[in-house]
Amino acid sequence: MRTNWNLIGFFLAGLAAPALWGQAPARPPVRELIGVLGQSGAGLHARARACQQLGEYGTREAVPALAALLTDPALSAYARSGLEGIPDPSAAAALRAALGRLKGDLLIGVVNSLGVLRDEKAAPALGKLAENPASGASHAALLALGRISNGESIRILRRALASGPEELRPGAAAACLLAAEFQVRQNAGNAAALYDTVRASAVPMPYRMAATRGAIVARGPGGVDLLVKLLRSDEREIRNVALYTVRGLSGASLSAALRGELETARPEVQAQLLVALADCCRDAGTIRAIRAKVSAERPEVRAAAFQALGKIGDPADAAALLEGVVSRRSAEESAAAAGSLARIPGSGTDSLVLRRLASTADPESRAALIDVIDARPPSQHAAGELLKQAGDPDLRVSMAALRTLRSLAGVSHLPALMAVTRTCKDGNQRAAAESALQYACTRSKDTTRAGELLLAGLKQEGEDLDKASWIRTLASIGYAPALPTIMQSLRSPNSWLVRTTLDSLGRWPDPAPAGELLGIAESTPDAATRTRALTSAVRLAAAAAEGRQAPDETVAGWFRRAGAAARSPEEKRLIVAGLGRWRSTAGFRLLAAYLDDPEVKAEAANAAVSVGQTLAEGSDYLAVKPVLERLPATTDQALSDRIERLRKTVAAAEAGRR
Amino acid sequence: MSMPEDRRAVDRRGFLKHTLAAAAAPMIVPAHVLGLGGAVGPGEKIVLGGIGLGPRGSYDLSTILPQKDVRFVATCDVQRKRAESIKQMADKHYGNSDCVIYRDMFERLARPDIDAVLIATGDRWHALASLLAVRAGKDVYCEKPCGLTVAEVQALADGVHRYGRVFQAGTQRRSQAQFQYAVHLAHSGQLGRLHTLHASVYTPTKQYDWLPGEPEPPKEECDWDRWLGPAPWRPYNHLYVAGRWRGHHDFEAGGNFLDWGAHTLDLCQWANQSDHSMPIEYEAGPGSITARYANGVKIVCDFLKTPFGDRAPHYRTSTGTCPVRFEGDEGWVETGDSAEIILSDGLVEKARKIVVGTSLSPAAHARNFFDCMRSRAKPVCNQDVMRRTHIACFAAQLSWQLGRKITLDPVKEEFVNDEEANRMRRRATREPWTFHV
Repeated sequence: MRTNWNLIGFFLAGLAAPALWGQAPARPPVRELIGVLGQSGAGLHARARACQQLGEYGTREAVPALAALLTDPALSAYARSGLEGIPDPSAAAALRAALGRLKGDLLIGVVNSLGVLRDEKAAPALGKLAENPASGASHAALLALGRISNGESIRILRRALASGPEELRPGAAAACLLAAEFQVRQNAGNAAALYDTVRASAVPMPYRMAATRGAIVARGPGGVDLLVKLLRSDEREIRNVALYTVRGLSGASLSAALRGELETARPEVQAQLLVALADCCRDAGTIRAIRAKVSAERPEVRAAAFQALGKIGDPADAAALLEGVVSRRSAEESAAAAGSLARIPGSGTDSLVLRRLASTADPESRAALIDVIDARPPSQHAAGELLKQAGDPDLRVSMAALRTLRSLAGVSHLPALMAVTRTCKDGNQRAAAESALQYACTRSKDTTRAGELLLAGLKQEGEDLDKASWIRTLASIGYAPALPTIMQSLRSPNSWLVRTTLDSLGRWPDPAPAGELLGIAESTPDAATRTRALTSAVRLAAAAAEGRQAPDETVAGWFRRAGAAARSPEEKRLIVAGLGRWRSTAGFRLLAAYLDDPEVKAEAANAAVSVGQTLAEGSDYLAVKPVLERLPATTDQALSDRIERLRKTVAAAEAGRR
Repeated sequence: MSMPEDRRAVDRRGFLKHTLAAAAAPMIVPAHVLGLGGAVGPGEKIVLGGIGLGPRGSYDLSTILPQKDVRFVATCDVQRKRAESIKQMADKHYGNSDCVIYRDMFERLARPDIDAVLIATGDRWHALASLLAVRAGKDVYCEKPCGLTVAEVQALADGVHRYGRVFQAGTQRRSQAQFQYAVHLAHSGQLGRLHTLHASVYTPTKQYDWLPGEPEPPKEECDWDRWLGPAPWRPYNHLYVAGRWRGHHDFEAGGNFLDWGAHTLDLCQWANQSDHSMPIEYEAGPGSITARYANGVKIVCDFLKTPFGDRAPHYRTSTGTCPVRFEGDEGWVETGDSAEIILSDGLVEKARKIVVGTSLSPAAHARNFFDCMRSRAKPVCNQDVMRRTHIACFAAQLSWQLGRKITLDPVKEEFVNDEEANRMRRRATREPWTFHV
């Protein structure tokens, strides 16, 4: 046949390009796709794709052309995609017809496709293949018969399982499982019988386990007796498949049976049963059984009972769980009880835990109880007691309390929290205290009151450590009246306080300190101070650009000043990174200037391609086009790909404009 | 005393960023309390093997190796260098040279001492390798996307049930505190009645071309036939093996829609308490695909051009990759991989619970899997959860690809009156492989 290159050219045009919304995907007519299949000069790729498309929307007319490719090792799978997709009996007929003329993997492929289609007419031919190991397709044929799952195929499978060659029995077992699965929906009795046959066969354990699960499920409520029997098995794998199967069952008989087993099972199984009961049987009998096991002799059983109470317990269980937390018989029990106590609802439970906290001396127990409060829904009544605990000399207790106060403290607690902060001698403890302060301020609607309190603290004579704490907290809420006082700290002889202040200013929630920071960067003789000031200024400028907190001209001015102040490659990289976050033409133009800087041109190219892609996909491809020519050559494949993509986007935008 | 300098600011927009308290945390039973997975007893270690562990798999493994009740003993890969790199990693951790390399997956799966496998091949192998593993009696932790088509994920979920194994899909964000917290807000009614769930996804692509053919490398370096596995044949090119398989129709699920969609749409399913169902209508627009549940709640799958690109109006850059946003009539929450949680104004005061910084580590997700191996309970991203999330993703992607609204019957898992979409639910498997095992 002569090659029709025009047709193939049209066909290939849609292969590599990403489809775009609103544009119908390239979809050649069926007749043309059939034509491509017949042209050996079309190449493998074009014919492979044509097969796939015929599978998606092809018609019976395509069947002969597809069937002709079943003998082609490179295209057979593609051809089967076509045939499996075409909803016409001729497709299955073509696959059946091919059985007699194929060998090896190609034959197996066709057998698999007949299984996918559940082609009942193929059962006799598949049966012959299944019973003839020399065919090389016996295993595949068995599985296909399992998919077909009609009377004839099941008879063949039973025969293969009972008396077929030994090497085929695992395949026969798998096929029986497939067949039984289909039968569950048609005839559950048939399914159960088939599962029982596999269970009784001499096949590897995974098949017997699968059949065991199936046998229980197929019997519905009647499967509980079998389940119980299996739970008593000495074989762990059998017990485990029973435990897995429990999750797919329900009903009063199941609950009663599992509770019955709970009394006699070995401890490891008791623990598993407790979890399974909580997962599947949420009835009064279950909760009674679980409560009883809280005082079991074995620790693993008690721990599992505590865990289970977290799933189905109620406020009546709070006292037992509380004891589980503080008795500390084992770490696992305490953790399990604490986790569950956190889940028990009700203010009564809150009060119970708080009272116990106030009356417990042991620091470890108190820390554990505070963690429970932290994990529970917030209770306003807890803040007072927690502030007391936050000042505890035991670091575990203090840290736990401060951590929990983040959820509970408000502005009214600020003076007390500030007092605790002043006493912190440990760095992590102070960090926890500051965190609580910040959350208390941020959560409040009255940030002015919070700011006033903190500013008053800053103005007081005091330790630099405390000043730093107030500065960080003020910065986190962006309390503008505090800025002049904070700026005074930059004149401190303590370089650590200066650094801390510069960093804190960079976290201001709006760009208010940007100008001051740039002024410092421009004037300081100290390189480290300049870098820090620039870091904070660029962070604010980028955030302002991204969040549209300032006009473009203002942001551009900040970046220009930062660029002029930058001395080191590290400082320039900061600016390039900041500009990379600013998706605008103004930022892009500034970024482009760095493409000529040998110290940062690689970073600048990466950022420019990212920003450029956004602009080109928007409306500003004209700004991107001249910069494309200036992008440096690169050996980075990923960057190279992105540049190529950008070129295409610009070209497409330009073509669209024309 | 020095002050810790590396602390993250707490700002107004994102004041809740930190690890979730127990309200939304999954119940985790201490592993050694329960015991007893496939062959694992109390106090016994879970013996784990790997299949196809590349960059993602080695990251997963790096968080699994420190787990004291797990022992990684073997790996299997069609690429020699990758297998050796994993062996080196495991041996270095354990201080020995015991990790065994297999080139043949079947040999590796035949080892009776191995209880479970970690699978992190490319998408084309995920479903089949998982099925072969469950048939061999192993529990499976499989990276997402777990299949290339609707039919593959159906076969996988059915196979896991058939063989009664514990399966965890690698959609780790269900085990991460910030996402758990966002879902908790939705479940507890603090957002009011949910109406819109935003799931970020990459802009989908469809690539049908083949890279130029090159001579195949020696099989002992890279076995191209095994690398392809169930995917249809095409000539070798080293770039596929180096990771450029992504985007190609025959190798990547849903034209890269599932790369993030398997996570973000999964979180929306969870937030809407729809693990047992799926949206019924899917319609693509220029910058997003909208999916609607029967109850009217909609998921908007927003195309993000780059992970940290311009996200207005739906997402803040500061929430990092994979952002989601749940909106109800009383408030909204947005979070992402950065662990920052942003709440609507009214909600800040109401939802006081503080969550503390969490990383992207998949350790908690793997821990949930190992604990379930012992209890035989279903993990958080079990085969049923995976199945529905993936099918919803495929449906969304198909609506985009076909350029029309499609309707899904969530029970039959069929598209209503749309033969073409239904035909696109599956492709033939390259011989001799089959998903029906």
